[in-house]
Amino acid sequence: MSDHAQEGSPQPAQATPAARYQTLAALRQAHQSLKQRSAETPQASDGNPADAIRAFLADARRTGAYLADPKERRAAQGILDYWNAELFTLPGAGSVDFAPSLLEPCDPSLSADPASAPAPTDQSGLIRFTAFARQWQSAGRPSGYLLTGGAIEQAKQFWGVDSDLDAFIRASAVQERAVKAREDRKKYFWLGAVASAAGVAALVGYWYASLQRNMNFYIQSLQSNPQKQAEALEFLNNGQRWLPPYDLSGLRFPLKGVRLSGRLDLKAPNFSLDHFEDVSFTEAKLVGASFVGSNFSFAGGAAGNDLSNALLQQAQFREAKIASTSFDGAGLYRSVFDRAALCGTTFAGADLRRASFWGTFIDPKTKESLRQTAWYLAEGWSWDLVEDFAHWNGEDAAWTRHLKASKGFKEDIGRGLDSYAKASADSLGQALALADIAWTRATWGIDVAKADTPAKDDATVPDAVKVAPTALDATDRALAIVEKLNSLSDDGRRSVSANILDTKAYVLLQSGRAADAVTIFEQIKAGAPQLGSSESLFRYAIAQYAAGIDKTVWMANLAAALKQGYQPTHELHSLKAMIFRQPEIETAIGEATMRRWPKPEISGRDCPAP
Amino acid sequence: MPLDDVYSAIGNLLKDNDIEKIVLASTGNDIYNVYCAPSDPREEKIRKTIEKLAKPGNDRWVLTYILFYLASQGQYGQSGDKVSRKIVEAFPKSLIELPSIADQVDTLLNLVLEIFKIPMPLRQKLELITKPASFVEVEKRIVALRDYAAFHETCLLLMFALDYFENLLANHREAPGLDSVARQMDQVAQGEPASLKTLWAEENPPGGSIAELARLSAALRTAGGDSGKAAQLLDEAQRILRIYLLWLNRAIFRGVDALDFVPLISDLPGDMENLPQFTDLVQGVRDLKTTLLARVLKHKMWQDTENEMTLVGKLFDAPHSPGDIGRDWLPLRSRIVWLAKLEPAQQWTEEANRYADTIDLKLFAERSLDDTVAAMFEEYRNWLRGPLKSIDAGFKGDCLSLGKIDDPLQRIRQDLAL
Repeated sequence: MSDHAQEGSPQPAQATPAARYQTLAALRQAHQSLKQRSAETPQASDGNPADAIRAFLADARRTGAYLADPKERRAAQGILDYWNAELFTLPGAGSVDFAPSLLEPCDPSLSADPASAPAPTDQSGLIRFTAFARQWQSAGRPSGYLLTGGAIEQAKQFWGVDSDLDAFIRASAVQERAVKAREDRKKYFWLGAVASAAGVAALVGYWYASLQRNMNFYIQSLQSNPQKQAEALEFLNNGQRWLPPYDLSGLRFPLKGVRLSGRLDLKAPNFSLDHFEDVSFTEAKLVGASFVGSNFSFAGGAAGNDLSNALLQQAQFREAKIASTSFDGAGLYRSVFDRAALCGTTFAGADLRRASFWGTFIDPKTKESLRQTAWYLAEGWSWDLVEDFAHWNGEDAAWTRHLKASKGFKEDIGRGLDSYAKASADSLGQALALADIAWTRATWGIDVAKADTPAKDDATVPDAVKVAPTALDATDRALAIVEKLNSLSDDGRRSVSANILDTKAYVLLQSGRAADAVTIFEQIKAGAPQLGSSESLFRYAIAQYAAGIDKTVWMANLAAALKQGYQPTHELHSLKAMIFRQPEIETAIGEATMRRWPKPEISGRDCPAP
Repeated sequence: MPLDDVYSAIGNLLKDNDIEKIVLASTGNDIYNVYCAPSDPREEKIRKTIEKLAKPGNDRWVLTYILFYLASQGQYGQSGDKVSRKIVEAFPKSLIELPSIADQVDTLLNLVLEIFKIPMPLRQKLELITKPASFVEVEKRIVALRDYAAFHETCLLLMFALDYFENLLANHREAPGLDSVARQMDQVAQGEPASLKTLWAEENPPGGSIAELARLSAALRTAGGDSGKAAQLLDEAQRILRIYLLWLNRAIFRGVDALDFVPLISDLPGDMENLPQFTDLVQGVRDLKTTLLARVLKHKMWQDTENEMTLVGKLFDAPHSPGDIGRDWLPLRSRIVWLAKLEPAQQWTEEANRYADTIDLKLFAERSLDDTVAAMFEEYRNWLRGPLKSIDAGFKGDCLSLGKIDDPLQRIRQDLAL
């Protein structure tokens, strides 16, 4: 080793504070984040990328103290080498930057703090959307392959990762806009006709200027005139299509008695710190709206609000105080209720996928209502609440029907059903669509191993449901297709899809066939000596417990999965009979949950008197 | 692609000052004297300049300099990468199907020799003799470039060997032939050409001094059957060599930028500008420099990609799920396919896609990955070494062609001194 490398040896462990990245996963996430920042930083912004890289390298070296596995060390050193090389190419790099950054040696006395592990992120979408993009490219870019609606938004989170994917997203967005424009053209044909007759440019210019003036007037009137609130919101709603998102935060008067059911359609409006009382925004479209710190009837005797069936994806209700308000049937995908207080608030049938409820105060009435949702697809719940939900046994046939009819489930399952319908018979695309359908059913806990047999001649039943009414049928059918494809192929791709097998094992585990699930997990493990994802490892551990395998074995796997940062969500519902029957499993998961979502100290959230 | 998008993207990335310098360096003209007004928006400055240069077919001068500038600012693979791809897509001449350096050098030499055959008054001869420094500088840089290309090839082969053996040992496989690697290490440790040491202002990089390779080769010979120790030594050697190559490539990249053929025209006595051959000489000098920049840029892009490939190879080798690797693998995949498209005559695009598709399918179909995907990636990496060697060999050929300028220049100087 060179002199310099020896100089870079670590100080004694007790003298150094804990490393910022204590696992390879955390280091990789930081590496990705730095890459993303570099890609987004234009030259003209005068940021100093060299300093950011130097800081990263200084932190990353210390990860070595926590890494013992040679392959992990090799990968981590690879990341350091990569950034060393990036640093050299920057104009500001000096001779000193050519010194290699080396990982610190492993210190066996150190172990990674589980809280430092990054939250598992859903990267499967990246692989899926990229595959769609390649199919679209190779098929000659037909418009039928393009994404629509919410799928475009989901794909956008991977913007910039791959140029084919970027082109695919761009083309999808262009098509979406074109379709919308066609619809708008039809709707406003008369307006266009009048405008063209009167001289389009002058009229539109004048009209837009007056629209902006009116917008300012009505926003002012919301501030100053409580009697005109409904009128003002009505105008702003009509003008939204041409105007930027409104900032309606901090209104002096509460929004009171405003009823715009089915009509409100605003682009990411800001209602932060506002008060709402006796407001009805049912079926409103308020995607990305901000209600941070808002107050919904959180005063004794105030009449409640109705936001039922409203589209509130990615809406922010952080630190809001919400009482007597209905979110029944609302689309709350990825919405955030962190540190909010919910009193007498109802969520029956709401789409809570990926919504966050960390540190949220929830009163008994709200809790009862949450039982009528797929609460387990949201995250951040306090462990007390999870235990309470887990010990509830009211999931009867009516409850299942209710969830099956919910917006969230229809959207999730619809994706797979559409892909199946578009794919060629017995193609890889069809197998993947079936795998997608099976996974949706498994995570929602719907039609897992038993379902009503659909009528073969019923045209309203999608083909995929006829072929595979249950998740188990879907995985079996998908595996059969993959096996057939593998038998035809002679190019070294004869691997059985671990992805589909993993889903099948989960389905079997839910169906009480734990021993069969263990067999499949072991089959996967034989192909991949270290089960790749912590979530598979978690389910494997539960299956081993349920199959009566030696405790030390499943406890080791469970501890490893939790140490890698896996936080179970849907399993808390689908496998509750196993998780909450074994105190050690329950305790281990509970402790991991409390570490991930520590209870915040917040006061002043007592529910108002009715 | 609409050209306005390209001009706008360039304008977004470059400052006024950058644009002025680039236009001056690539055309020899003050941008505001010939192409546009200072009050024009940046996008407009670029559009007007390129459109005026496109008429005589010289737009690639400015475009190549812009690409080179972005790369020299460390913008390749980052925000500048997107702009560069836009430029190449809209103006394929900037990097695709480049003219041959050898042909351009021949044309240039013929013109130079033709001009100097014309009997020259003693006053003009004296004027030239008093300015020999710039001629000497051109000669020195050409010699260094030629030596660099040859030495780089040797280093690259050693790099491949180190990487191959280190990978074998890291995966607990047998690695016969370590002696030959030790010999290669000794050869590189002692083989740095003197011209490189004397030309570049910067010292050898700390931690990247290739003399260290001699120490490591000796240790490797005594490692015997200890494969763990051998892998560690190879890893260290690889890091030293990689750092050295980065340093060397950076020095050469800057060296080519500084390699200025303009003295061939600007140092000629004023009267000679009236000669009919002078316009062709100016064109030839600027064409040659532009092509050389494009070549060295492509060479750099492939080297950078190899570095990225090394990282992704190590990530594939570590435990992970397919989703984790996507953000590293997909940009690399896209970059290699793009680079392959820059060499349409080589038909690398189809091959690159074929290997990458196999890996894509595996990533898409599996929830957790086994060693198969790492093996597939290794296969892909082995394939990439073919194009890398080919690009390196092409660049070496270019540098040798440049060397042809060296002799006539010396002869001209000697003739003039008579």
